[in-house]
Amino acid sequence: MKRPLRRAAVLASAGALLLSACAPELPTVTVDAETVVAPVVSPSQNEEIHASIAEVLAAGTETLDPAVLAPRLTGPALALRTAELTVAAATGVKDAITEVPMAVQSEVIPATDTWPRWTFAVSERPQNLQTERLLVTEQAAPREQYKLWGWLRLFPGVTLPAFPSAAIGTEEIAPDDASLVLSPVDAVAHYADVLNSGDASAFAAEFAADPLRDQMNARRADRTALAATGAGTYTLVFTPTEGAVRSLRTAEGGALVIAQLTSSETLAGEPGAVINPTATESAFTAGAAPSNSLTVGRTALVGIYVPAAGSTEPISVVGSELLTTSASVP
Amino acid sequence: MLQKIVTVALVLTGLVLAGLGVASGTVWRPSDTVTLSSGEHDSATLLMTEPGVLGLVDESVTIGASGPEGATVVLAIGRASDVQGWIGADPAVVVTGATDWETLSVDEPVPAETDTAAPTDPAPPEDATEPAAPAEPAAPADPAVPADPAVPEDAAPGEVPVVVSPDPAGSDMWMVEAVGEGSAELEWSASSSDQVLLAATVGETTQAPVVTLTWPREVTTPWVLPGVALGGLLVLVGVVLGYLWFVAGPRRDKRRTGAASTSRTARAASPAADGSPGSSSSALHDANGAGRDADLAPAASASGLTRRELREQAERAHLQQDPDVQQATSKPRRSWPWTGAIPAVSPRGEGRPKTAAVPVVPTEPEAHRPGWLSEGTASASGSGWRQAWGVRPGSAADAADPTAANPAVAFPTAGENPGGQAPRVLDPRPATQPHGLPPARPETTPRDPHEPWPAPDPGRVQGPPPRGGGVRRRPPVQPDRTPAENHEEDR
Repeated sequence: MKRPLRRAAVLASAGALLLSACAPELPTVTVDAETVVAPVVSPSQNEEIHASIAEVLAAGTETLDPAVLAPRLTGPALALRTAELTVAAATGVKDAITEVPMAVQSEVIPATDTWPRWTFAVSERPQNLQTERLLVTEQAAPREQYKLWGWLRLFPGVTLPAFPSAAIGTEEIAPDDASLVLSPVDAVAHYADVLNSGDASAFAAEFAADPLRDQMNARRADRTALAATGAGTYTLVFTPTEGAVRSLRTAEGGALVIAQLTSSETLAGEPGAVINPTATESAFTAGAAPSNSLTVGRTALVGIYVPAAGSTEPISVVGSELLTTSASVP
Repeated sequence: MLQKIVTVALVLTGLVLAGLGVASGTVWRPSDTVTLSSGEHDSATLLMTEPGVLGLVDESVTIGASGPEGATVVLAIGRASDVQGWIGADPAVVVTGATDWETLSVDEPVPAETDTAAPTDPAPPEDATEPAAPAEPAAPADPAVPADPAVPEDAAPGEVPVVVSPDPAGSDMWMVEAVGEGSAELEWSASSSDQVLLAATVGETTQAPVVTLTWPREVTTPWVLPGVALGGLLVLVGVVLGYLWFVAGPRRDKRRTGAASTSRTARAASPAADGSPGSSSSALHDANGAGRDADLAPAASASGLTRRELREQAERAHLQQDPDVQQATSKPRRSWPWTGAIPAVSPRGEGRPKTAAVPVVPTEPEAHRPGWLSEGTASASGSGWRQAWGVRPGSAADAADPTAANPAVAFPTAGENPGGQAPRVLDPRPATQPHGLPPARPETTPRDPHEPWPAPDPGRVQGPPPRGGGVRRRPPVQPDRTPAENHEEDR
């Protein structure tokens, strides 16, 4: 009796051993050791984002309905495009709509775990052979999509600073970052002052001459002279838009700052004078009768390269966009 | 019996081992895929995996999810920080790993925030667009109040407020996503542990999707080869042992017993030559000489005896009455000087008998007849043979002298047998012929005509036979005789 029992026990234990050997050890969760924060989007994701934006832009151009822009446009870009569609709808001419190619030739992607997030990209050259656009897309919140925040036309012949590759990602720079020659906010404020005051600005020496600045100086001189003929006044004021500064760190520690400015241009003539708005401006005046005063609001985007603190490089403006977004006849 | 058990146990164990080994690679072979399920959870509509869970078993993972009826199931892969950011403050079931080979371990969200916050202000009176402002205490107190038209669409009046669960579908952050009605499936290569799964049921539900993660698994069967090899070895060993023990073994035993009986027969045929026992075990039987035979005989007769036993008993009785045999057999062994015999024999005589042993064995009158010669031809052929072997029958001084029956015995016992003339005989072989054993002849000669007992057992000539060899065989004390032999003898 003992022997069969023992044999059965041996067989049972052997079987149990075999069975237990058949069941491999339960795996455990292993996490990659890397603690580096990855870029917020991959190039392919960015491509899809740009494609989505392009669809929306195309739809907007097609329908001239600013409402279709909301899903993929935000901030200055939404304001600019809405104005353009409004003008196009009013004038019936779509050619004035700024061409914003969303096919990019290079992109700057931050690596961060926080929101908002924004990316820069340089588009292909537009079909109208204008200069390339610098595109800014932003994701304001986790459940938001990436939207086109802004675009600006690169100045001809400008050289953009180098950025870390999109596979590594770069750093988002706070508006008050102190690691630069100027904080982004200060840089924008200084530039706005230069735009406002021209060469008379205290900060004029900080910035090399650029097309926008030259254009504004010329316009100011022209309109001031025009106003003088009719005993009128002319003012052109650029104001940095609060909170509308997007900066990314360059490879050499500097920053490319994209900031929104609003300009208000007021031309006032003598009483009785009539200042006819342009076709673009009249799109915003809603048919109001011209008077001796016209105030035109514009939205501007400027791109400013701000070197790292201690750098001997000059601050430079790399591009801009300036479009009329409002007009009013008092 | 033990051999049988061992053999059978070896074979059985080997078969079982081989079977277990094969079974471990077939029946018990683990599945090629591993599927872990998250189970049902009502605490949230969102489910995410912790970093590394998607690559728990293998990089290549197939994600399946099913939700309740009517709900849309969304699966998305994104960076862990993106998924966590997307979930934000919403409750979410978090898959942390595996509890066993079928179940994912899950961390339930703390059921506090949305489940309480959402129902408390189903119809905010004015701030319909800000549901997070529970400033109006009347709202929860009277949920059935006719809602103003500004109430968002998800707060239908009079109904239990339904919170449409958040929909992660379409986010730019997802690397891959899959959306399906009721269920969805997604394949993903979890090359980085930073990429996690976000699963959601979208719709009027409070249930998280049941997520199953399936990986291919490299299945190894490490026990097949060892099991089969070891099992086969055991079977082989068992079979070989069994063969040796049960097939070849008995044959060998038979051979051994046959040889033993042969020598015994030879000894029985020439009992005088076996004046004293040897060193073997059978010799021990004879060591006690006829004394034991005398003891055994009555005992045997008491019970039912076979004819053979009766016959042998009669023989023994007869032998005991024979003075010659009596003398030969009753001689105590110790009186037989082993060492003394050798120097007494002349070197020449010692060498020859080794090869000339054949003629020695045959008994008495026809002592010169070799065993292979048939009876009746002894006198005729014996002369030629004797001449060939240098045997001179007449040279034995006194063939009738019983003491000369065994010269090896005679030399040492010369003192007690002054008549022994063996020393003078150059060739003592003729003297070895036992002359005084007529009773032995009728039995041995016809029974074993082909027995090789004339055979070359020089010890029988020179001294005590190596196997001893009693005067008579005593069947009762020879248990290893085969039935065939008995039968032969009985005939």
